[in-house]
Amino acid sequence: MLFFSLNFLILLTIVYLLVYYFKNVRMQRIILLIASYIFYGSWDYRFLALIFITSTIDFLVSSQIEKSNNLKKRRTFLIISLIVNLGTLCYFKYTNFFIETFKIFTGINNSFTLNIILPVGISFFTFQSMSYTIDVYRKKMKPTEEFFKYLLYVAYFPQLVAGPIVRACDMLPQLDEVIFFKKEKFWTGFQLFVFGLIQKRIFADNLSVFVDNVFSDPLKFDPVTLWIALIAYSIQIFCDFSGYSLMAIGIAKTFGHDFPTNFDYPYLSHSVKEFWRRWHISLSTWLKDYLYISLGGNRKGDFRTRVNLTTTMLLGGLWHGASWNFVIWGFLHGIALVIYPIISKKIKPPALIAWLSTFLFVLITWIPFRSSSLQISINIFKGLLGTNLPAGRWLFTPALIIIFLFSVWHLYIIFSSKKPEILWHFRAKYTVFAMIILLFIYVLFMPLKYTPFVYFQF
Amino acid sequence: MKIVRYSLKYLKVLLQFGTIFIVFEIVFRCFINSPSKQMHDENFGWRYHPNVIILHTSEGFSRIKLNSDGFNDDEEIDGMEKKQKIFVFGDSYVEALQVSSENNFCSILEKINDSISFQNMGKSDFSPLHYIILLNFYREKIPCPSMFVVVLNDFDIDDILKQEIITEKDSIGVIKNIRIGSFDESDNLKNKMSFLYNNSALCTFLFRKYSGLVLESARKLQNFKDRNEKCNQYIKDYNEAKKRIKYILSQIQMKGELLIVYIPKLNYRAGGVAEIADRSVGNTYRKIAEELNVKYMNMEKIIKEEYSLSHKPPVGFNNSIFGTGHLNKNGHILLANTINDIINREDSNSK
Repeated sequence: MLFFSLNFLILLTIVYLLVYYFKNVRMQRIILLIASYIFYGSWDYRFLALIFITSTIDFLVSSQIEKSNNLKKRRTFLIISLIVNLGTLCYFKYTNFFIETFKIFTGINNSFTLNIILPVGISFFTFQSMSYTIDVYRKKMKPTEEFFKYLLYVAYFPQLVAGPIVRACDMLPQLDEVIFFKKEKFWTGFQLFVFGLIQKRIFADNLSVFVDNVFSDPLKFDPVTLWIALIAYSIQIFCDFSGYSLMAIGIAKTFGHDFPTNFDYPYLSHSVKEFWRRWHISLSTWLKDYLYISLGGNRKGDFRTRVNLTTTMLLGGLWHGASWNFVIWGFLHGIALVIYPIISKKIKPPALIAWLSTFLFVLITWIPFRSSSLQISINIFKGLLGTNLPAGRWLFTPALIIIFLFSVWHLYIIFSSKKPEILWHFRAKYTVFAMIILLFIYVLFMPLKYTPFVYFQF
Repeated sequence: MKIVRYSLKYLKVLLQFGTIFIVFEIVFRCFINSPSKQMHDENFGWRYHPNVIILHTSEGFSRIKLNSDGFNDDEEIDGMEKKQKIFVFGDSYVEALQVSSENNFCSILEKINDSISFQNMGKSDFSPLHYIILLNFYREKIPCPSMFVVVLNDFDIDDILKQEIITEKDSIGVIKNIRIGSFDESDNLKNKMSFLYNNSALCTFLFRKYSGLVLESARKLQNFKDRNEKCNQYIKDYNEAKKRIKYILSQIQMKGELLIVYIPKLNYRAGGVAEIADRSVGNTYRKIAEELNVKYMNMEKIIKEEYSLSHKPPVGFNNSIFGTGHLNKNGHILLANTINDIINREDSNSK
């Protein structure tokens, strides 16, 4: 069930009506929980048991951690939670990757793999659930005593399948409040949803037509086409994921719930470090708080800091998908994060050079991220340098138009203090006008073929 | 007072809608597409209004003035005074709305051969059956030409097997007559909406984009008991297609010399390699040509050679998918040269 499908629209309308009718917080929570389970079950009902069982274990374990004053006992319960969450994630996501890697290293040549279906959004809800138990263990928060509230926190439909990863300490207090539909919040949420929709369906999906064709057979195209396709992919992945996040944030806002910002114009960053403060913020802060700091952070000397940073990024890469391409992508970013402080002490480049080098680095690292194999990554890289055989040129006009619009949008951000998605700061009559124009654009230019959200696979 | 205030508020929103619609309509007419301007003709099916200007941007970018018959050709029934006249039949590949008028293969051929007039009678959605209808229609207008060129592609097999084409056969299965049947669902919808899409570029755009979706949804609603049932499906029966096309071409052959040119669908790969998508289509056309004893040219080899040298496919544009769709400027040059070579070879042989 997609956010822009008719089924979702019907479900959402029913939920709005029921939530509006029942003014009791417990009842509202149950309605949202049922809606969330219907939403998740629509992908594959078999995995409803999975999300229910892992949530239940984390709920019980957390309350045991809270009850116990014995550090050893607390740690044992935390390990149980980590084993359940990471074990589930590893089994569904990485089993075949481990089998394949084992076969490569041992030289075994057979076609044995397990037929495992990846539950949608597993990486998101396991991380969300884990953060809860870790926070309780670290005594950063008290566990909730209400089971259904916790189930709703894990399964809340706007962020269930592709984030943003919302912390329990931010979300659980919001679930204690009765939902009253407030005009301002509802309108703000609607606008955010429309912006997300435009980003996903107009920008990302139209670009995917070009990107998919070029990346499926990169040797067919000349360096100019490949560079444009790479830029187009960088915009596609941003708009795809940022679009989904905005839609999720928008839907939650209509219910009066505030989710954290997930993207803050990452392509305007002047360093890789800044990029990670602006890209998939909920994941990067999660990795920092629960992995990097757990490994020791920067408290154990320069060398350990660098190792911790690289390890965090490497695992962050692996979180995105069970493939060596993602490991390489994470590793490259880890190395860049390690090298950056060393270089920045010696050289202070002008802002334009800093931006350009960061953007170029991010662009190049999207190659292994997008490619289905290492060989394709190498072919694209060679193609970009013009070392491939002669090939055709394809300057796909819609992609060029979108790249132009994206650039104008970002230039506007550089030179303006207002962000265009915060239209509600303007006077109401303009926002209505803007919304009508955006809906017109949506109907006219959305491609009929839907491209699945890139981050659903993670 | 409250009612007046609310009415004003909604009127304002309605006005905003109206303003935006008008602005989009102007933008579309200038840059995206013209209103469709098509009418249903009893004989031809759908055809363009006379002398309309078409703005075509879905593949390539062109602005073309059609002639009084609604074809992409000069206004005069050209070549009346010229020595030789050749009729070119085909679908959208011949119609060639994707390139400017002077770059389509008929114009290129006329430039190369000053003494020959090439009458472009291509129209998108035309099936081979339309060639007989055209032939009968023009018999009274123009004296019979010295040659007919029929440009076929992979879609003609599907077009001739469509449900709306009716064949009358004798007891032993030999085709006696072939004609267009009644309106199909798509035609009905198009007919009902004709006022909108004849006058609005925006409505034409929306109709083209969403009509398929609307029809599919309507069919699903009709057949909700069996959601998997697909209407308008037919078996791709090459034998039946061969029989039908052969019958049509034999009718044309009776009127004059016939040349069949086949533009195959190729998949364009890296390293200048092009592979044929479906060889059985070409085989079907070749067999028809052999049985009718007419000239036949399969462009597969020529296209492959050209692509291996230039790495530029003869089909596709910068605003469509690489290597798919209609002939581009290079493709039209290639097709014109191919036809020209055959005609000249024939001339030199006869001399």
